[in-house]
Amino acid sequence: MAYFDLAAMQESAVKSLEKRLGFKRIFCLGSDAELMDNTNLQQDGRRKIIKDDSPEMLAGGLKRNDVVAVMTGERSLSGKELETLKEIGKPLLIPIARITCASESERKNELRRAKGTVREAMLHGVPIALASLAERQECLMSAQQMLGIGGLLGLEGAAAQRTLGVLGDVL
Amino acid sequence: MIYRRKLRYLLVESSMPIDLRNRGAEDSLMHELAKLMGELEYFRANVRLAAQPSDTFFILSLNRGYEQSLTLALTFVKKLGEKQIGLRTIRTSGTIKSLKDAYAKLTRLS
Repeated sequence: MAYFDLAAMQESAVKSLEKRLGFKRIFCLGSDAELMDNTNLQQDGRRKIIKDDSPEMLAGGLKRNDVVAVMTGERSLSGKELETLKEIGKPLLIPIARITCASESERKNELRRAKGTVREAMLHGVPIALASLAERQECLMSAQQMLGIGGLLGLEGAAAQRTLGVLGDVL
Repeated sequence: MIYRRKLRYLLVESSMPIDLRNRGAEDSLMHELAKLMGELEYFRANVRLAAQPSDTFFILSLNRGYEQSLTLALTFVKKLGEKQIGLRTIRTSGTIKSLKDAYAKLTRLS
């Protein structure tokens, strides 16, 4: 099975690492997709990932064709939003670097939040995509490590493997 | 009856050069791993530095069955001493030779 990752780094910094880390490709924020915020609301043909922080922006963004995934943030998604996500088939992106690169005290909260999100998404049948979204070299990890984190979040075996392949289909 | 210990080996890449042959650095890594895995799990896993082929690659040996737990613990190690660091597991194997071969192949490719 082919695994994919998404990093918030320059393409040149991750290109040499992708095969070694067990990925078919590491996509980069900026070149392959961009985070949608108030500054880039116009549809310019570029693939966008929307954060779930603002319910209004999320509701509008889900209807757009250029939005390929929803990234989890501070807020937990409501049941209705998860149902909509399931209907349109857009994946919920779980950023792993937020857990692994957090300080010791924050890590527990981030883990608990991510685990809850994964559980809710699985209950509603929403596709999940795991991505490192690493901003620094230290936060990048191998596919083997991502699968381990997936297991920690409640995604076992084949389910965890599927989540690492989702980005290849949408980006 | 004496049972033969079955070991697994893990090839790990560090984002920064580290010298684990230096006792202080090795102790610091093992301390972090013990903290993350839990002391009992760490002692059952019997994690040892098996080799360090270069300053950014090293091979750890451990008892079979604890690979997943060590891989996860290595993911969470982000600081060694004063250095910010990231550790990535590249491959797991039952023999140290195959990991040395894998390392040689990696260095040939890059």
